[in-house]
This record gives sequence, C-alpha cells and structure tokens, in this order.
Amino acid sequence: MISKKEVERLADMTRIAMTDDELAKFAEDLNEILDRLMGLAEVDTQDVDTTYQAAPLEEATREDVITSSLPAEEVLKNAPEAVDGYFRVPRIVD
Amino acid sequence: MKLCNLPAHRLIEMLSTKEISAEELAQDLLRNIQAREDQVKAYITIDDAENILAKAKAADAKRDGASEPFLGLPMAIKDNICTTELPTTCASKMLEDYHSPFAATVCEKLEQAGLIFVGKTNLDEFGMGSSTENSAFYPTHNPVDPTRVPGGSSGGSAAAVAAGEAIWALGTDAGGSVRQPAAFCGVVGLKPTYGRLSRYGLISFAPSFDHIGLLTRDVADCALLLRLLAGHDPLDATSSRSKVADYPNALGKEIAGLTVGVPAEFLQSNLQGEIKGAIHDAIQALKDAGAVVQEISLPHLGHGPSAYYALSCAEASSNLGRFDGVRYGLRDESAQDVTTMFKNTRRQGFGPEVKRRILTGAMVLVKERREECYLKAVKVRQLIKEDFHRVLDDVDLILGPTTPTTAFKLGTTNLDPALVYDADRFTVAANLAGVPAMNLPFGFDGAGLPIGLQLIGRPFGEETLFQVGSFLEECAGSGKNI
Repeated sequence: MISKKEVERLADMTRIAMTDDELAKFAEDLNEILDRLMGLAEVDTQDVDTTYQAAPLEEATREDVITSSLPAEEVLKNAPEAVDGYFRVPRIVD
Repeated sequence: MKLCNLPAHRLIEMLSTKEISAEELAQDLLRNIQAREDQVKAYITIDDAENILAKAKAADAKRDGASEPFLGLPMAIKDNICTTELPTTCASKMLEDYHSPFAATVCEKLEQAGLIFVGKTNLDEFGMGSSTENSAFYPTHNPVDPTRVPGGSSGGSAAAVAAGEAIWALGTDAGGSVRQPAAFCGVVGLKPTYGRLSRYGLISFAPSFDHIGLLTRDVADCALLLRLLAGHDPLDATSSRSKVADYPNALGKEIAGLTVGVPAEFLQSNLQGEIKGAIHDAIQALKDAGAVVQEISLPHLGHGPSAYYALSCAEASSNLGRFDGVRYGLRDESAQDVTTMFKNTRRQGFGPEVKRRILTGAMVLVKERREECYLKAVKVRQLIKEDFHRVLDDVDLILGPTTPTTAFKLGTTNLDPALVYDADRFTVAANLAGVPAMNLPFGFDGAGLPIGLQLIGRPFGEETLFQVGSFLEECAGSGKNI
C-alpha cells in the first residue's frame, strides 16, 4: 500500500510541490499502478540476466579532439535569468 | 484528388517533370490547412504562410531535373523534436516558449534535402499518452471522425498526414506512439530498429525506449524517407553503424517463400472482431501469394505493458529532472530559495500525467521496491527480448494487430486509465525488444474507422517490412480479400 505520506516523500524526492488533495489523488493512482506492476511477480526470472538496453551497443568512442560548441549566448538565451555568462538562481545557502 | 493528399513519391515525379511547382503544392496545402485545421488541430505551431511560400519558390528556382528529389516537399515535425526556426514545446507549459539553439540531426538532414517544415505537431505532453488529450494546449481530433482521438502520442503528426496538412511527418515512438496513431488515422507508421535513426535533438522521456519514427501516406514513401534519414550519427552514442539498405528496392519484391509468424497471444486476446477478421484476410492473402504462415508463441508478451510502464517511468523520473527552471523553460518567480523554486516550477510546468509517471518512476526505484519492481521489469524485458529473437530465428516477419480496437471517442481515456494502458498492449513489445515494427492500414471497421496491421521484423530488417507491407497494401487497395 502506498500511503499519502509516502506520496509526499516521492513528491519531495522528485521536487514537485503538491496540495493535500493532489497527494490523496496520486496515492490512489499509485496504488492502482502498483497493483498492476506486481503482476510481474508471476514471471519466473530466477536465471535471467539484467538487461538495460534493447539493442547491443556498439563501441561509441571517438578521438579526443577539440571541436566547436554552441556559443555561450546561444546556450543562455532560453534561461529564465542569466548574468555575466552564468545561469542565475534564487538563494541556495543562507 | 488534391495535390496535398497525394503520396510524396507521386509529387516528387510531378515536381521533377515540372508538371507542378513546389509553390502550387504549398498553396494547395496551405488552403487545405485553412479548411481543416480548425477542426483537426494537428499543429501546435504553423509557420507563416509567407515564409512557407518563399521557401517553396526558392525550391522551384533551385530545381534542376530530378537531382534533388525532395526539394520543396512540405512536411510536419512532432513538437518534441528540436528545430531552430520554429519553437519546440513538447506540448508542455514547461517549454511553452522554448526555442532550441540546435536542430535534431534528422531535421538537419531534412532541411539539407530541401524539405519545408510547415509546422510542429501536437502530442501528449512529453510523449506520455495514447490519445493526444494529454497535450497542455488542446486535444487533436481524428480527421476520419472528429469525435474520436487520433491516437498518441504522435497524434498531431498522424492527423496532419491523414488530413492532407503535411505530405509526411516525423513522430516519436517509445511504446507505440507512432504506430498506434498511424493505425487510428489510417496512415503508414514506422518505428525503425533501435539505433537506426539518430535521436540527437529528440527531447527524450525514456532513452532506452525512445525512437524517432515516420508517418507517411504509403509504404513507398516510408522507404524513401527512411533511406534519406538512416545512418550513424556521432552525436548519438546509441546510433548504429550497420549498413543502410536501399529500402525502396524492397518494394514489390516477390513474397513467395517468406515465412510469416502470427503470435497466438495476439489472436487469443480481447480484440475487436473486425481487426481479427482483417488479420485472417491478410493471412489468406499471404498464403495465396506463396508465403508460409505459421502460428508462433511469444509467451511473455502479456507482461509487456507492465514491464514497459515500470521501466519507462523509471527512466522518465530521472530524465525529466532537467526541467528545474534553471537553464530553460518555465520558472516560478515567486520562490525565495532554490528548492522551493524547483518544486513550484515543476508543479506549474508539468501536467497530471507527467507528474503521475514521474512519481511512478520514483516509486519503482526507491530502495524498498527496486528489486521487486524495477529489477523485476528489467528481467522480464530480457525474457520478452529473448522471445522475439528466438521466434525471429524461424520466421522472417511477425504479423499481428497494431491496436486492440479502432479509434476511441475523445474524453473516454481519462475516465479509465486502464484503457490507455491496454491500448499499448501490442505495440510496447517491439520497443522492449528494439525490433522494427510498422503499422499498415488494412481496411475499415463497420463505423468506417481505419484498421491497422502491425508487421514486426528482425533487427535492421526494415526491408522485409517494406517488402511485405507493399504487398499487403496492394491487397488492401485492390479490395482483394478485405
């Protein structure tokens, strides 16, 4: 069972502010989803390898050479706030 | 028939012999958008008519016989693939004003080939959904029946191609997001092999599942477009170096002697009668032409949706961490400290389905559940992959339905989340296994809604999909057996 308290923890971990009503609604949803996911328990996976990729990956190395990158102003143009070539955010430490 | 409803390969012929100009084609398409877009709402952004016409004129001036066949063809791009001229929103308030500083590799290839981007198409926010109703802006309507959904998440792209609002379109497919809307709207939809198309510039939600896919009027167009876009890209570490075939050569090739497998699990499951009927008709047509059709078994298929949901949400919860109000997109300006800013920004920027999936991802990844949910799903994925590889050793191709039903009504999915979960039942398997899969329109149900067959091939075996797809397309077109 996923409690409202647990949803609160998950929402905090994933940095999403939520009202009490939202927490209750998502608790319902997550319980329904978890019920379905627990259906996987019936599959025998005792000797199965863990696989994280659908396709065998090829070696993706390259020569370590310097290439051009985006100009800083292009990188910063979508930033909500930028100062002196940096991203600006609200206070982090007191 | 209007120009804007013709397949690209016909238009390419007409353009190269100067029977028509790119400007006439663009005008025809823009008139059609004017007439239909209010009802269909396929696009989030449409470029200015002037700009589109100027590009078409430039294409006409540049044209020199058939040397650059794609010059001046107007097409659409799903709005989670980066373009530089037009904004890229992912149908999310989070990226409502985002203008990418770089273009996706596939978009660069298209522009170099002279194609014109008409606009960016609607989707379920960040690609999460199967009806395009999860767009933060508005739902798209199915051009065949506007009371019904176009499918999703590439619903805008499928609707644009079906309505004659684009000659062809790019979509993305993490669990069926190209094939399912293609089936609902009656167009061809291809999810190529994992690694076949570069994903650089695709705003990813689940990287081990995400693919760029193609939505076209017919199989021949699909083969042409894949040949143009396929190939290794140093900017995408998962893109493959395997040889790009001359895909159009596979069209119309003799199918006698090919072996086609039909999974028992597909036909035994709860499936709309007319779709089952279409599969039987296709089987008969294949047999009549000398193909060998045999029943096969993919025993773990039924667990595909759960494995997909657990893993794709896990990946999404980590992937969407980048949307924090720092580097791009929305920011809550009221917060006094950075953590509150993150939390408020994500609260305002993400819609309910995106939040649900992020929370689900966190739920399956936390220490207490990692083993029984996440790692379990990883192993089930491996079993499904092995099922496919075993079966594809014996058969050249797998045939089945793309969807359990034809297009459903708008407004019904939010009432029953299980409906959407099940809508992906036949498509997620190909993403779990990384194999190529294509939707092929094959007749209509009693309500006049398109039925889609799904063809699934060996890794990098897209040619077989085109070979058998073009044969079945001809059967459907001639009314033979259906």
